[in-house]
Amino acid sequence: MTVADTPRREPIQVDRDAVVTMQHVTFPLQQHQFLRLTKIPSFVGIWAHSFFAGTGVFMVTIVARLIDVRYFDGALTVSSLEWITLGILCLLVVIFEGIYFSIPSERKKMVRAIQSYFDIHENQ
Amino acid sequence: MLSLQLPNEYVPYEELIICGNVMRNGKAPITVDGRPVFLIGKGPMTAVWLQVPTGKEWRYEISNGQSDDSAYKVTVSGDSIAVYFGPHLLLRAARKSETTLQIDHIDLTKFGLSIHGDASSLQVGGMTISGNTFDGVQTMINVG
Repeated sequence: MTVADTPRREPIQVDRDAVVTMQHVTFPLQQHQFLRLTKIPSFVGIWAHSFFAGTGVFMVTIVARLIDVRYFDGALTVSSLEWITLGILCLLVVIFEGIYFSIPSERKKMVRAIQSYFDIHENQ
Repeated sequence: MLSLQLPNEYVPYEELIICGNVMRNGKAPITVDGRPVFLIGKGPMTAVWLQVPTGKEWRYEISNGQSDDSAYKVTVSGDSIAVYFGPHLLLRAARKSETTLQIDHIDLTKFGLSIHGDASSLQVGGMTISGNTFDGVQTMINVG
């Protein structure tokens, strides 16, 4: 478009087909795939994350007691039993999370398939 | 040309510098079949609207700076505004005065619209539009 010397009083008209070209990239998700994504619970995942959360909470109480003993003259120290419990919990978390991340699952496969579909089609 | 449908809250800037073009006393920079594709209005810096095709319908994905979809982000920094869709920068503009707004980045290609531009020129449907001044037009570029 050339530079106009005087202001234009009319809009520039552009053909619709030249502008509204491609459609949204959509993934053809079928019902069984949707169910795979949402309805199949991962028991290993639930166990792993539950242990993770529980261990986190337990660890907070231990840390709180350490702070209490060190800075506020608290009477209750952390017992060896609690250290052992924390150690066992951490070990179980590592094992469960390790299993969860290493075993194949239909859900993870489906998510990966969708991700790679969008990676390919969005960048065309 | 279909009649222009604008949101009630929208108050246009008197002068809009948009990717190397100037629109004075206009209403909407780019329209498709009478629908404004995007609008940045006077008032709070978040007065931004974005209307894009979703399937066969067009709908406002951002309305007065608000969106139902968390993928859209409107960020304001001083007199500048930026609109993102995920990591993609869609619009960037800066208020130059009470009556002037400068838009120096547009990229709506993610929505299947061949509309993008930088500080020097605007590309609409393969056409480069640069160095034009529009005065008193409803819309600068009409697609349809």
